[in-house]
Amino acid sequence: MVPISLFLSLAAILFCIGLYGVLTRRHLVIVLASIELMLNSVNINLVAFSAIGPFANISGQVFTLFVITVAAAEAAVGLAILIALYRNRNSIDVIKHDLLRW
Amino acid sequence: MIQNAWLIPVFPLIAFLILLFFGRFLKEKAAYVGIAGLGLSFIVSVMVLFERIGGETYTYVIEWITFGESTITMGYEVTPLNAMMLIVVTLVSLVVHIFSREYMHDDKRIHVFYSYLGLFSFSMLGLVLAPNVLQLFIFWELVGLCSFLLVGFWYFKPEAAAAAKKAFLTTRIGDVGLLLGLVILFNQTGSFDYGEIFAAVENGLINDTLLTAIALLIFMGAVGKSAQFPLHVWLPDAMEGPTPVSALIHAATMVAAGVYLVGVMYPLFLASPTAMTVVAYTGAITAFFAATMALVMTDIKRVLAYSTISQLGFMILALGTAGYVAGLFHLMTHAFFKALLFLGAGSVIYAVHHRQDIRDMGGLWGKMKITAVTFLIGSLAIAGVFPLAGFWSKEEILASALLNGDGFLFAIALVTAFMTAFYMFRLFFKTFTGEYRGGDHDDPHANDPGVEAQGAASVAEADNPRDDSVDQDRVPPAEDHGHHDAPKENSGFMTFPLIVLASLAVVAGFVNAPFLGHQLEGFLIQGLNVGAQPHGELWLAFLSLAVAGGGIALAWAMYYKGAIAEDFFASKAPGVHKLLINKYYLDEVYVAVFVRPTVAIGRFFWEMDKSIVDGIVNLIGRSTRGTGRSFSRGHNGQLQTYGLVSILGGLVVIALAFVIRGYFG
Amino acid sequence: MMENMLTWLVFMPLIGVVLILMIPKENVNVIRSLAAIISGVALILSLIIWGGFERGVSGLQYATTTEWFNIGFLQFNYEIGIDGLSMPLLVLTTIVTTLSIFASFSIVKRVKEFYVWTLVLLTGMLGVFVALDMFLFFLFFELTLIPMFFLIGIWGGKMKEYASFKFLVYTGLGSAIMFMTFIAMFFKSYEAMNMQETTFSMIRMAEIFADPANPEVLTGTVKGAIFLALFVAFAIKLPVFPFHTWLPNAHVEAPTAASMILAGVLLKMGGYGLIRLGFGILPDQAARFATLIAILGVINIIYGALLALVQTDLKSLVAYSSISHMGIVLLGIASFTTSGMQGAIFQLVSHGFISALLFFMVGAIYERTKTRTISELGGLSKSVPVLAGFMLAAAMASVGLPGLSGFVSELLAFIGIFGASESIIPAATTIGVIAAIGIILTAAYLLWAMQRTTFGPMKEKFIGLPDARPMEYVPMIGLLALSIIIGVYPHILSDVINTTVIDIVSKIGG
Repeated sequence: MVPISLFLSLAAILFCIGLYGVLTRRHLVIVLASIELMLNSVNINLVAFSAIGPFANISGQVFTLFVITVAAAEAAVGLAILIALYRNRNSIDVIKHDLLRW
Repeated sequence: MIQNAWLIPVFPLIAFLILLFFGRFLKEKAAYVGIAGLGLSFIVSVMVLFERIGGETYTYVIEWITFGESTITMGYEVTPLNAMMLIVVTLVSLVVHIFSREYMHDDKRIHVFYSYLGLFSFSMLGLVLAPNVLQLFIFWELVGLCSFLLVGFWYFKPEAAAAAKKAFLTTRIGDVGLLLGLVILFNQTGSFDYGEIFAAVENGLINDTLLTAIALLIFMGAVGKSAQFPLHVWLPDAMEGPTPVSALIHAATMVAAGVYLVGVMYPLFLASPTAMTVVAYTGAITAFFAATMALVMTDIKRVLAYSTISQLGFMILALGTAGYVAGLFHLMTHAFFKALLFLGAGSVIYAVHHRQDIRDMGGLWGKMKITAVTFLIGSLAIAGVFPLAGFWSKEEILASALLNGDGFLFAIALVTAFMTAFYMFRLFFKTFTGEYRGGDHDDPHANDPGVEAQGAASVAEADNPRDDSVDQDRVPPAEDHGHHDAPKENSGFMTFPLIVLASLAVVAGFVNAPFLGHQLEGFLIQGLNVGAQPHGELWLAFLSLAVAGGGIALAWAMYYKGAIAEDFFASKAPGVHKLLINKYYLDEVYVAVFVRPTVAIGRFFWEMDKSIVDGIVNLIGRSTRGTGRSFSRGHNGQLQTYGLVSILGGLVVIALAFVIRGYFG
Repeated sequence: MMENMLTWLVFMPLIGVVLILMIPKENVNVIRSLAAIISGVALILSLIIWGGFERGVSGLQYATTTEWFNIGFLQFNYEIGIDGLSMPLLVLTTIVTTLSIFASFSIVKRVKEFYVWTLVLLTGMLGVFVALDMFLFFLFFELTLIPMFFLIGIWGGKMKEYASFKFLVYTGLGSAIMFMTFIAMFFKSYEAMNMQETTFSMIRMAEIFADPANPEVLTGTVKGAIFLALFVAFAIKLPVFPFHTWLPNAHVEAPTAASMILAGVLLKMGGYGLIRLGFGILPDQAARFATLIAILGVINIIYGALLALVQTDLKSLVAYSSISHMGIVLLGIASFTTSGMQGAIFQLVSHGFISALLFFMVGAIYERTKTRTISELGGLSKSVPVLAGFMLAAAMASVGLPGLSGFVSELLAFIGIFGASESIIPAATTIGVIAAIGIILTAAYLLWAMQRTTFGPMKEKFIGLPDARPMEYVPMIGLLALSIIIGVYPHILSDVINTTVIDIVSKIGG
C-alpha cells in the first residue's frame, strides 16, 4: 500500500513546478501549460483522496473528470485568446502586456 | 396739512425717480424738475410749520417689522424741532437747486446731479420727520450715501473718488457706534420711539453706566456726521464735490444732522452728566482746532469747510452745556449764512473760471457787486456782528458755556469766536479787495508747498486742462467761457439765492432775540423736559461784539491795510504754521495707525489662509493622492507579479492563522 | 393639486429636464427659453405657495407623508412640508435660479447640458428645503453636489478642475459627516425608544430627543457629539472658518450663473440645515455651544472682511465678503433670541439676493473687460454707466445700507446678540462690539473696490464697451428690487418667519 503522503508530495511538487512556471515564464504558451500542470496536480490529490482518503468515495474521481473537462475548455479558450492577442500586438511575451496597469 | 406732512419728502423723491428714469432725455430741463419738487416741499413745509405753531405734535406710524413680541414701526411725526428743520432744509435745498441751474449747466450729467440732489433732499427730510430713532438712522445712512455720490460726482477725478470714499468710511465709523448705541438702547427699553425711550430714561430703567455708554455711542454717530474731532478729517476733503453740494450737504443740512441727533435725543444726554461733559469738550476742542486750521488755508472752500467744522463744534458745545435752544438756534442761523457763504464762494469760483485759491482772487468787489455784498453779510453774520443772525445765536452759546460750562470752555469759545471773525475777513479781504491776481498765468502756485500740502486737487481742477479723450462730460470751464475773461457778476439763477439767503442771514436771528421774548425757545421747548435755558447778561453781548470786532480789525490790518505783513505770524512761528497747513498731520497719523496696520493684518491673514488653512486642506488632499500613488506603483500590470503577490499574501494569511490559532505552539 | 403643491414644485424641474433632453442640442434658443419657462413656472408655483402660506400659524404647512419603501425594520418615508423657515428660502431658490438662467443666456458652450444640470440642481435645492425626512434631506443635499460639480468643472475658468474637485470632495466630506451623524441619530433614537420605534422623520426625531423613553441613552456627551458633528457638516457648506477654503476657489472659477446659485442658494442650505436640524432637534445642545458658534461667527465676519480687504481679484473679493456675511447668520442664531434668529433668516434671504447680484455684476463686467483684477479696472462709470450704477448699488446693499435688505438682517442680528441672555453667551456685548468692527471693514473693502473700479479716470481700452443688454436688466433689476423691497418694508418677510422663529427660540425657554 502506497501511503497517501507520497501522492500528496508528488502533487505538491507538481503544483509548485506549475506555479513557478506560471509566475516566471514569459512565453504565454508555457504559462498555459504550467496551469495545466497545476490542475493535474490537483487531480492527483482528488484521485488519491478518492481512493485511500479518510472519507474515500467516488465523488473525488467525478470531480477529476470535471477538472479535466474544464482544463480542456480552458486550454481552448486560452489558446484562442492567445492567438487573438498575438494578432493584435504581435507578441505573446507576458512582460509586454501590462494593460492591467491603470 | 399737518397730516400730509409725508408729502414733504415725497416730492423730492418723485423728482429723483423722474430724473433717474427720464433724466437723460431732459438734459438741462432736469433742473426745473428738481426745483419744482423742492418748491412744493417748501410750500408744504411752511404750511406745516404754521399749523404746528398753533397745534399739537402729530404722529403717524405703520408696522415695519415684527420679531417675537416686539414690533418696530415707521412713519412720520411733526414736532416743533422738526417743523423748524423742515423749513431750513427745504429752503436751503430749494435755493441750492436754483443756484445749481446755472452753476452746473456746463455739465453733461446735470440730470444725474439733480437726481442725486432730489434723493438727498428726500433722505434729509425723511431724517427730520422720523418718529423714532431707527428711522432717523435709516435716513441718516441714506444722506451719507447721497453725500458719497455727490462728493464723488466728478468720479473721474481720483481726488474726488478718494474723498467720497473717505467721507463715507469716516462717517461710517461713527455710524457703527450709533447703531450699537441704538441696539443697546432697544434692548434696554424695547422700543426705538423717542417717547418710550425718554420715559424709560426718566423712570431710571437704565442704569447709569449703561446710560452713559449709550449716550456716548450715539454721540459717536454725531461726531462722525457733524465732522467733530477726531472724525472731522473727511469734511475738508469732501470739498471735492461741486460747490452747491458743499453748501447744501456739507454746510447747511447733512453735517448738522449730528447736532440734530443730539438735539432729538437730548433727554438721554441730560440724564448722563459724563456724556454731557464729553459732548461739551468735544465741541469746544473741535471748534478751536478747526478754527486754527481755517486761519492758514488758502483754498476758499477749505477755509469755509474748516469754518463749518468749527461752527458745528460751537453747536455741540452749546448742547453739551445744556444750551438746547442755543445749539439748535445756531444750527438754523448757521444753515442760512453758511449756505450763503458757500454759494457766494461758488459764485466767485464760477466767475474766476473754477479757481479756488484765494491767492488767485482779489479785487472782485467792483466786479461782482451782489456776490460781494451778500458775502460780506454772510461774513458779518458768522463773525457775530449785531444785529445779524450769528450774533444772537453765538451770544447764546457763549452764555451757556459760561453759565453751565466752566471757564475753560468759555475761554475757548471766546478765542474761537475771535479766530472766526479773523479768518472770515481774511477770506473776504483776500477775495474781494485789492487787485485781481487771477490774470493770465496758468499755474500760479504749482511749486508752492502750501498749495501742495492742502491738496493740489483744487489747483489741478482749476487750471490743468484735463485729458479730453477720457473726460468728455465736463467741458473744461476754460474753453467754455474763455479763460482770460475778466470775472463778472453771474446771472439771476446764482444771485437770487444769494439775496434770499442774505436776507435770512440778517433777519433769522430775531426769532429768538431777547427783546422779542425768545420766540423760538418757547416754541422748541414745549412739551420737553430739557431744563432751564441759559441766557447771558448784556455785558456778554458786548464782549462777544468786541471779540468779533477785534478779529475783523486784525484781518483788516493785515489783508486790507497791510499794516501788518501777511506772513507776520507765519514767519514768527513757522513750526506752528507748518503744523496747521498740514492739518496737524492727522490724515497721516490715521493712515499710519489704522489703515496700514489693518491692511497688513489682512495680508498676514491672507497668507495664513493660503498657506495654513488651505494648506492643511491641500495637504490632506495631496497626502491621500500620494498614498494612492505609492501603492499604485506595485500595480505594474504584470499578471505574474500580481500572482506572486497574491500567493505570498495567501501564505502570509495561512501562516498568521497558524501562529494566532497556535498550531505551532 | 393644492395639497401636492410642494411635490409639483420640487419635481417640476425634472419634467423640464426630460423636455430639454428631447430637443436637439443645436436649437439653443429653444433650450434657453424652455429652461427659462420651466424655472419661471417653478417661480410662479413657489409664489402661489407663498401666497397660500398662512401667517401667524405655528407648525408645518403643505405637509404630506407617504410611505416610500422599507428594508427590514427600516421604514423610509416621503415626508415633506414647509414652515416659516423654509418658505422664504424656497422662494429665494426659485427666484435666484430663474434670474441666473436669464443671466446665463450668454453661455454658448454645451448649452443643453448646462440647462439640464441647472434644472437638476433646482430640484435638489428645492428638495432640501422641503424635506422633513432625514434620509430624503440627505438625498436632495447630495443631489445638489453633482450638478454644481459639472457646472464649475465644464463651464468654469482656468483652474476649473481643481476648483470643482475641491468643491465636490470638500462639501462631499461634509455630506459624509452628515450621513454618519444621521445614522448615529437613527440608532440612538431607536435605542432611546427601547427598540420600539424607528424613524428618520425630523419632527419625530426632535420629539424623541426632547423626551426619550430611555433617557440614559441620550446623555449630554452623546447629544453634544451629535450636535458638533452636525455643526461641522453644515459649517462646511455655510462656510464657517476654518472650513471655508473651497469657497473662493469655487466662486472664482465658476461661471456667473453658477456663482449666483452657489452664493445665492447653496450656502443657505448650510444655514438652513443648521437651524432645522441642529437647532430644531438639539436646542439644548445648540444653547450649550452658543458661545462657540457666536465666536466662530465673529471670526467669520472679521476674517472674511480682512481677507476681502487685500484681494486683488474682484470676484474673490465678493467671495470673501460672502464668508464675512455668513458670520452674521452664525451670530444671529447663536444669540437665541427672536430678533437674532430672525436676523439670521433675513440674512440668508438678503445675502442670497445681494450676493447673486454682486456676482452677476462682476460677471457682466468681466465679460466686457476680460479682466477681474481690480487695479486693471477703473472708470467704469464712464464706459458702462448702467452696469457701474448697479455695481455700486449692489456694493451698497452688501455694505448694509439702510433701505436695502442687508441692513435689516444686520440690525436684527445685532439686537439679538446684544440682547442674548448671559446664561447662553457670557460675553455677548464684547462679541457684538467686535462684530461691529466688521461693518466698518465691510464698508472699507467694498468702497475701496468701487473707488478703483467704477470711479477714477476711464481707461483707454474700455472706451466703447457695450453697456447692459436688455436681457441683463432682468436679473439686475429683479435682484435689486427685491433687496429694496425687503429693506424698505421687511414686514413682508417677517410676518412669514416670525411664528416659526418664536417656536424655535421657545424650545430653549428664552
